[in-house]
Amino acid sequence: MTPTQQSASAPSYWRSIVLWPAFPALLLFVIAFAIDAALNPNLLSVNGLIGFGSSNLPLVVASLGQAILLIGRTIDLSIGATISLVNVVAVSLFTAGFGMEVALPLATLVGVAFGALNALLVVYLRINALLATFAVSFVAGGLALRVQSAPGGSIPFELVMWMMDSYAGVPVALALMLAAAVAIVAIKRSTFMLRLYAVGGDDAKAFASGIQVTRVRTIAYLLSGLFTGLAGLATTLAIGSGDPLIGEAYTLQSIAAPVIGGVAILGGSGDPLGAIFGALFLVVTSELLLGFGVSPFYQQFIVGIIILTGLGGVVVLQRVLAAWRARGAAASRRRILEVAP
Amino acid sequence: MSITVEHVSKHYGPIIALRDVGFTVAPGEVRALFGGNGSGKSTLAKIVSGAVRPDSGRVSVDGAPIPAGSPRAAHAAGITTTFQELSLLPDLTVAENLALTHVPRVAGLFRADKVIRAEARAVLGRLGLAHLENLPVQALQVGEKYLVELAKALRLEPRYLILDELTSALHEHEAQLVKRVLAEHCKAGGGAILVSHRLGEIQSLCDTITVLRNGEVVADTDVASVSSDDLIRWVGGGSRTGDRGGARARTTATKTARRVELSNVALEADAGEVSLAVGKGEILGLGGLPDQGQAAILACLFGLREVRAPARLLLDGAPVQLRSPTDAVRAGIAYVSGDRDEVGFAIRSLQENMLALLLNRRDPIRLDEAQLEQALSELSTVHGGLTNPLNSLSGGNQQKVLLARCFLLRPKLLLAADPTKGIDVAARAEVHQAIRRLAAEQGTAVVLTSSDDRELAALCDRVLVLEKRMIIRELHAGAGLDEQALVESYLQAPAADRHQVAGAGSRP
Repeated sequence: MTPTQQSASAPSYWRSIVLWPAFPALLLFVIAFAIDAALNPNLLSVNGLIGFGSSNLPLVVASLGQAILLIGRTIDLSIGATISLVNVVAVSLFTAGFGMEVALPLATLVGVAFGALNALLVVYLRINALLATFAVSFVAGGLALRVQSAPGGSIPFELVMWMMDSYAGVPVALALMLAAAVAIVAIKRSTFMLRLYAVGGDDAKAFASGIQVTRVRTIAYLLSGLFTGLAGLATTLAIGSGDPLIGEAYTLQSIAAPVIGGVAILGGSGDPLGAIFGALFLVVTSELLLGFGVSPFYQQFIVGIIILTGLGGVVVLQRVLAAWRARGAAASRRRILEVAP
Repeated sequence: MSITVEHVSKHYGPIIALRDVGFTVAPGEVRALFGGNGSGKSTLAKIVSGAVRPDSGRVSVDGAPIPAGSPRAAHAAGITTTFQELSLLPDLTVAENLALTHVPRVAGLFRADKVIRAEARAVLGRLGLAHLENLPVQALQVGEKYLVELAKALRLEPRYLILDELTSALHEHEAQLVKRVLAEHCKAGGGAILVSHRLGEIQSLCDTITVLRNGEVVADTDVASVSSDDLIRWVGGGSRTGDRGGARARTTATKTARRVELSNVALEADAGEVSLAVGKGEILGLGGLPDQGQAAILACLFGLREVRAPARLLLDGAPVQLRSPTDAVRAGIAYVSGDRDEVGFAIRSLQENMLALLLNRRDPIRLDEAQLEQALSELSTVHGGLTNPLNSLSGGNQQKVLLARCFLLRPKLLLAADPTKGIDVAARAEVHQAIRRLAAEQGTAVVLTSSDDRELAALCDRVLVLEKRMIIRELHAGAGLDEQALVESYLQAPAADRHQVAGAGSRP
């Protein structure tokens, strides 16, 4: 019995990695990063990693928030505009003379407040999530322009320096990225997340199982709002000033990233960690293209092609893996049944 | 310590589902809710479980009424239900699914995986399924899913279990497990309600029985004191109504010209093959318990399900390959459903709805308003003008509009899926009249499914009774086709695979 079990468990360990929904995105990211590092060895220096971490932290954090919503079969199109609003609110609080112990939490709360607003519209008033959050994106974007109509302002210099710092060769920005990953792993272990998978999988069945569907989706929006607020802070620390339009591109990228990362856009399955790899794949490939000297005029076009390639590649890979997984399920079923008395 | 259901009535639109019904379940008692298709037994079970709110009447536990229409309230009173349509989520593991109703937690926020798995093992162990704990539900077989649904209910240690058609998908050895678990449950002072249309399982599992027919209680007694014949007579109404006897003189004509022939098609991966033929102007019914393959046959005939060799489909003797409903409509096949949202455009006008079927034809049919009006008036449709939206009409008149458009198409084959669902008796008779005329005047072959055995008996020239994706019986109008015979055919259906399992087990 023992040898058969061991020979069965060794391949199943690899199988479980390969069948991990986030695996295709991890693979894509590692390949893109390796090419980027080969062409641009500076990327692997401490300074290179600091730049890499600080410029990509906002998208990674925003994508995690979006991933939570997608798993619960809902969405937020106001993430980008809210990031802009958080950014300009933080800068104006600093300009008004508040310390960071006031400015940073208050600005984060702006993100949570917009999460609450979205929850009110989508979960309680039952307005279509696409429409409601699209409308909210104009509210947040308009408020951002009202707070600060043009790029400018500044934040305390030590905050900018902290983001550019490293401890024992580990850049602060990368450590924060790791912290975000740890946070999402903790959230995955929560009872809330199990309910969220159920709600995203089929809300009628979740309801029949006694799950309070509205409460679960509300928590998802509040959590996502918190992540959006933190993404706004990360943006602020990375650019060191305020820009009412800084977040615009993040909305669609924050959706593309989790989907590339294997989160089902129709909810109920996938690993939110995949959003991190999806986000990093997106940014690394666009950096690569810039490195090849592609004109910035083509950048949007190229980024669009990359998103399509990433999505297409993942869809194809997912199909292949789904077939594998079905076979794997049948195989693990057989294995379990053999071991069973 | 008992459930009391008193004076419960419920209607859906013009249809009365339940009329002043009541029963009690005492501790240690397993009560069967028994009846034919559309008798109201599932509605009654849903009312007790809180999923459906009754129009009047009440459900109480130990004399205390439970707030109506709340699964949570029923649950708090100790009533747990296994759902026929299953409440399991395919992407989650068995253990996770079991935990969903009440997730064990550590440190307030986090899921206690060890407890989740231990609890799952404990309750699955009672059903001999502990080895399934970590499998995703999508990897389970049908019978196992039903048992896991039962385990999910048992985990909550309910005082009263409602099993809605739980055992119909189970093999014999699995049914034995359910029997043992129910016995343990009753020994511990619990009670249960079993919704079923299978005589065998009622006789082996239940103590008492409430028989429903057309939403009314026709018998309430001990299982031990009644015979199978009594039950069949109660469910079938004991009447030979519905058979129009020799009224159909043209049955000879139907045999001469075969309009549609579907042969050697397997309705399920491992099921045997079925074949059927429908004559010109013949109305063929597909009967039996719900979900025994009736929908799959309609799907084959409408291009929704591939008919692959060796199976084949002949239309007027010529083989046809239908890849989509578009192909089917072009080949002269029309589909009408009692779920009017499925086939009608509710907010669009009558004329748009009537023309919708004709849009895809290769040879256009030109129609003017007068012809549309005439098609509607031939079916005595009451409407306020061709430009009014479909949903401004009553259900019965909507159904006539959707049938009238089939007249315009002059189809070779009409597929009717429960065409009079939810419409009143008068409109139902007119819809029947329309279908008969279509068959008689245009030579259209009709294949019909119905949730009501009386409709099959009243309308069809011939009924094929399905059981587990196989045709088990054929009943002819004028030769014993009536409601009673239909009920009998599916209630006494031989459970083919049970014999197989028993046979396989007995071999060395």
